[in-house]
Amino acid sequence: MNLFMPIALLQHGAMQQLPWWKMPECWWLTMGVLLLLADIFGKNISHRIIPRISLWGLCVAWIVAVFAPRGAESFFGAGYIYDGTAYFFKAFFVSATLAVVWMMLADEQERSEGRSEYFILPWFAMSGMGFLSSANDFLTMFVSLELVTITFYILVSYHRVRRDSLEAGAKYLVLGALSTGFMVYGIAFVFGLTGTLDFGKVSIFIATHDIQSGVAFGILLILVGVAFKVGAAPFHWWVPDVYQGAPTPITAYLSVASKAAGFAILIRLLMSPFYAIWTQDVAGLMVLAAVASILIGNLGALAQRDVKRLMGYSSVSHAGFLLMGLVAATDFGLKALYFYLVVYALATLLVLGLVCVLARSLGGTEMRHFSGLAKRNPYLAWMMLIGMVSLAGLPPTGGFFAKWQIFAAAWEAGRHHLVLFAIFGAVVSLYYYLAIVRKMFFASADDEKETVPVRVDPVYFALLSLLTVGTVVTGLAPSLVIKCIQKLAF
Amino acid sequence: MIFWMPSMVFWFLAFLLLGFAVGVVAFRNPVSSALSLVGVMLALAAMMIHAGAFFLGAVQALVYAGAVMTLFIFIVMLLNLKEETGAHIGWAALVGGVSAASAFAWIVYKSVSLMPPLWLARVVRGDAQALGKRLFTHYQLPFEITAILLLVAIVGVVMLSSRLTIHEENERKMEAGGCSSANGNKEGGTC
Repeated sequence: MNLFMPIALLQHGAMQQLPWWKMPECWWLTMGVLLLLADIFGKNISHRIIPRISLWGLCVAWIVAVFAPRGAESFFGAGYIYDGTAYFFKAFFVSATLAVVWMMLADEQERSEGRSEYFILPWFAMSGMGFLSSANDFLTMFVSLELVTITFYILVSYHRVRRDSLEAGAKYLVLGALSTGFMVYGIAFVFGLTGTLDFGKVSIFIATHDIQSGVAFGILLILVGVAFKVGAAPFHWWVPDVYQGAPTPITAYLSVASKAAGFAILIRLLMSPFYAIWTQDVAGLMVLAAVASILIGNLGALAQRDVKRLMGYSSVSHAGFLLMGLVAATDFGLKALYFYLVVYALATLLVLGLVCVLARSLGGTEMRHFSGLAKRNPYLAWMMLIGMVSLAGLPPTGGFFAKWQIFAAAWEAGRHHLVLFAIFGAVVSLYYYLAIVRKMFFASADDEKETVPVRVDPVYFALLSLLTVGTVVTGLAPSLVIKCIQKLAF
Repeated sequence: MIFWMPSMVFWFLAFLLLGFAVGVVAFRNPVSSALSLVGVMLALAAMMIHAGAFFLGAVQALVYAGAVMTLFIFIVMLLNLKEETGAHIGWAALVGGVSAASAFAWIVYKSVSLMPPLWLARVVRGDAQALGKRLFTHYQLPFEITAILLLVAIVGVVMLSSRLTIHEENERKMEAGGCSSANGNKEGGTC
């Protein structure tokens, strides 16, 4: 099925109306509210059991999201649609949230004393992202985006006694509010010109009226807001600071789920309201943003000493690579984008998961702390190696196929310069990804005392192993993964 | 579609609004800034009423100019903020800011001037009944999501401002010990 058949697919009443209990977000929100109530009334035991209930609940939600029956359906007067794109992103968001809460559980055991909200808020963020992936009008899109963002403001500043966490939260709040302002201005512009907020109707109006220059301005402003959310240049200034200051599981959540949420919006906008003027006006902007992100992300990462900050710059560059998949605006490009998202998520969760677990035993997240890790715990060092190799895009892992596909999609669309820039960026990235590997395997720890083996909680080791296996499988059998994505999303 | 020419009232309100908006940023005294913001809100409310959105205009005046801004001014006075020391604006920032602003203005001008003469696609009836009907039928889902959004905001405020746990208390002491120069330093010292 060609996804880029915007108008016919989104007509009102063309799809079956959905009863409320078929919306997964309703259940996720119910779970979130119930956990909050349990936190209030079960004072003495709640902080022990709520993290676990949260994790097991996410396991159930994951099974439902991945194996639920499919079929395009709509809800709330087509304000909410449940099609392939929504299925894929919901499954993606649940998986990411599951991994993140798992990570939190290992990281925050003693800290969580009386602070169970940390484990409950991801349910709300996840619901917001779910609504976002199903949003079919600007109002639902905007409100659910705000639900996601506000939850993230809270989660980022969760370590409130630490200066950098608070600073990260404040920075994210101020810049996020500014970008939201741009986005609302853009939405207002589009609404003022077309008189409707519904994606399908907007696309019909644009196709039948000569208002392209005005709408293009609205789109420009909306894209500013979305570029901020995905951390694409030139709206990436918050990324390194916030990624460094946030608690590590939240850094992972931001770089995986929040970024994917931005791309869910972009895909929705591309599929329907702005399809008519996408190829001429918007694709050019995308190319610019992609080139800028790839260059700034990769060159900026070269100078970093802190691994979390480095991952921030790296995520800016990956936003650029992901945008390449949208430039093409074809099914092939979209498939490449989905595959890249999955591979990127696995590798990022793996690397940040390792940083999270190692930060305490190594004494910090700076690069020098990782010196000699291969001698202290070879398993973890090899896992880190696999994650880094996948992020860099080298052959035995999924990263290679993901980059190759997304480059092919952009090349096919005639964006040859973009591909050349991207290859340059990918080559540069080898240096800083492999710098950590070099430290781990070939540098000895600066302090002779720090050669005691590093131990990891087996529960946590299981998560890291799963992510490693995922990264390797996407590299050894990419066609299998692509088939799964195709089954989910198309 | 209805052609719509901006009246004198519109231009008057627009300049009033922009003047107040500049005031919010330009005033050194936080109370003056907050009062300018009240002016912005009221001018915006007047503009809404002028455009026929009576209910929205009334809500804007009541909620923003009335409740929110009163709270703002209360807090500004409670905190007893001193006059802001002027931020140092370097050449690079000045050039960058001016060029970004003029680029933005140019894009607005270009996109608006290419359009047919100023027009609005449709004028929506702006009374409470019409709004409520839309909100509770067609836009029920975003309305409900807003409820969740407010819940999350409340939980977040409680979580971030609640009493420190024992663990956090220890962590705070460690943080303060790690950079003793900034300990209790209210001038915003960094370490």
